[in-house]
Amino acid sequence: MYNNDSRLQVNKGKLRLKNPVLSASGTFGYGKELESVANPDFYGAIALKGITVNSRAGNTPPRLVEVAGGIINAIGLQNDGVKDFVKNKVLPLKKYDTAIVANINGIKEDDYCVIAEQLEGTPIDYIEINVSCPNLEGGGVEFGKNARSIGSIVKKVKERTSIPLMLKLTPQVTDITEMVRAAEDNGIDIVTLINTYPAMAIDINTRKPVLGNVVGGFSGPGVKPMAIRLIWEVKKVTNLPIIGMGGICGWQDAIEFMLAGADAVAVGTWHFIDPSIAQKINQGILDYMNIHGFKSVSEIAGYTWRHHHESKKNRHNCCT
Amino acid sequence: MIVSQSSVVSVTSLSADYFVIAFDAPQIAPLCKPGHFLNFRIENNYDILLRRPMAVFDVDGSIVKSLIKVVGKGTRWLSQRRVGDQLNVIGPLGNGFFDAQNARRIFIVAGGVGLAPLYFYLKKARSFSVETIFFYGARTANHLLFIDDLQEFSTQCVFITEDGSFGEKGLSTDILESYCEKVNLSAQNDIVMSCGPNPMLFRVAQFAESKQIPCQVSLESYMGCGGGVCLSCVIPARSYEQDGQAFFKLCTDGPVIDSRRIDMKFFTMAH
Ligand SMILES: Cc1cc2nc3c(=O)[nH]c(=O)nc-3n(C[C@H](O)[C@H](O)[C@H](O)COP(=O)(O)OP(=O)(O)OC[C@H]3O[C@@H](n4cnc5c(N)ncnc54)[C@H](O)[C@@H]3O)c2cc1C
Ligand SMILES: Cc1cc2nc3c(=O)[nH]c(=O)nc-3n(C[C@H](O)[C@H](O)[C@H](O)COP(=O)(O)O)c2cc1C
Ligand code: FES
Repeated sequence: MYNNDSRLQVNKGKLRLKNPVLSASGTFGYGKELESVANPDFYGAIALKGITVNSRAGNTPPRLVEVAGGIINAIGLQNDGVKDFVKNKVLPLKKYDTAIVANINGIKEDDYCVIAEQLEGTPIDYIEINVSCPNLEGGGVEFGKNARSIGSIVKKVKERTSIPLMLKLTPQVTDITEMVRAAEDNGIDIVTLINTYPAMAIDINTRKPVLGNVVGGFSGPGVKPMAIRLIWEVKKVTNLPIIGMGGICGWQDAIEFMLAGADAVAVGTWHFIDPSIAQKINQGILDYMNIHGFKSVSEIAGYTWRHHHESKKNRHNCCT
Repeated sequence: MIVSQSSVVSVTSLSADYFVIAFDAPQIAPLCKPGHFLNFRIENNYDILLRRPMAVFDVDGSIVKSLIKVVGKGTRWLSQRRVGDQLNVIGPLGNGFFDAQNARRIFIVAGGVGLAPLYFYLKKARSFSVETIFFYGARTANHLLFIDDLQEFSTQCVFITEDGSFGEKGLSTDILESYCEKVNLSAQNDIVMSCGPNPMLFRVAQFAESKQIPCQVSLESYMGCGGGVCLSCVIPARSYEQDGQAFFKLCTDGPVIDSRRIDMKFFTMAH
């Protein structure tokens, strides 16, 4: 099966995946729902729907609306809490040949620690600290905009768990490199980006906001160029493994993210349109490697970044 | 749940805004039950992203059909398909109408394009011995579809138009209620099934509950994935204790739901 082709393996720092395609949190449920059309086995890892300490009912509907170039969602982190997650959601995933990522969310800094402690000893392979949810009152994205909060959360969670840690970054910051530095200084293993952009839509006939929550997060093909640029920025300051996402709709987009510096990619919104996209991306990457003479995905990761900066260096050299 | 690349077999225009699209889907067809739905990919670049959900209207061998009302870009795109075009369809999805084989009599109330899943139900119900009273309302005579079929498939069919241009004049809910005043209703033997605009469903559900008759309604909500992963299609549950959660996922717990499980404020919410 091409999803298991050894040329697709990702081995960088703590990130060890059989292939570079992940599901983005919130777009793949708890892994089993789409099994008949999107088997978790096809993925390098699956990031599950975000969880909180206690259960949350989520926002008042409507929770989602299509707009030009994407969708706006305001789900509001509906979930049954970490206890139920450990008891009912995680174990059934053991049978799949894929890594499992728990996406954890907090209203208070300590929430992240409480959840991380409960995930210890479960089949969870990675914890994704989500400091970028726009749909969480208090906490959520507010932590993600503040380097000090990021540093403090990463440090505390690191002390509580041996599970490798990912940090999910928001695009809604003036300087994303500051956030990455704060996370790296405090021991983060992997960075994932981007979460959604804050957005809103109004129904011109009713003259009311479309979403029950008024504002939500924008995702889908429209965000891709902004996401690519942020990967490029992050690459400047870190050599940590990067998982890139934001508007991936096919293998070409995945390659673009990797050329910019991503070691692996995640598909979110496009699962709703084409649930069998993971196989297609892995197949597309292999075809691309054959045509362009790459021997492993690690050669693609950061290719454009490296070449751009080397040629810039050479230009400087010849001028001096 | 199957993803099918299917050929369009026919697109039949029924009126200015209604059409039936039929496509060949040998893997999906045998799995379809009344109340199930399909999720159509609209392949016109990035103008329309999300799939569009449509009820299964009929199955004929390997051919699956949807009855569609043109309301916007996606439904217009579907109406413009030609024989032989390829359609990417996911289905069947959701839970259909549940078992009513023990019922003696089913009151079926269809409004507008809500006819789609109920037509299929009525057609299938011929195979078990149950009395079917079909109430079908539309704005005018021109909006009533498949009159002959409905008369043939049902024990009795009552047509209702708002302007009185065909059948009874008024709202289907009024006609249902006055019809039921003349018969003996029983919680053991009777069932109500309904699909249509929310104000109609609200009154049908209220009526059935006031008579303590089980009522199954097929609902609509805005769907992201259609497969239970995005949590966008949720509708509020009436009883937290019974259901253990504040919301249902309409795509996987529905679209057909026992009306007693729905928080009635759903029917007056914006969608
Ligand atoms: C379970 C289910 C079964 C349905 N069955 C039928 C059917 O048999 N025949 C039929 O004609 N219609 C049916 N509908 C309604 C149909 O899905 C919408 O009319 C269609 O999506 C409109 O698309 P559009 O691009 O033409 O319109 P747009 O201009 O995009 O939208 C018009 C309205 O359609 C609805 N809509 C748009 N996108 C979605 C979406 N992704 N999910 C749900 N609703 C949406 C919204 O209410 C919106 O305001 C069903 C809906 C659901 C949820
Ligand atoms: C419906 C929906 C729910 C989401 N829920 C979460 C979540 O619970 N946690 C999280 O970190 N990101 C969540 N996201 C963000 C995605 O994981 C992803 O970062 C974002 O959608 C960008 O990728 P895309 O353009 O491919 O969708 C959600 C996105 C969508 C569309
Ligand atoms: S439409 Fe995604 S969960 Fe129902």
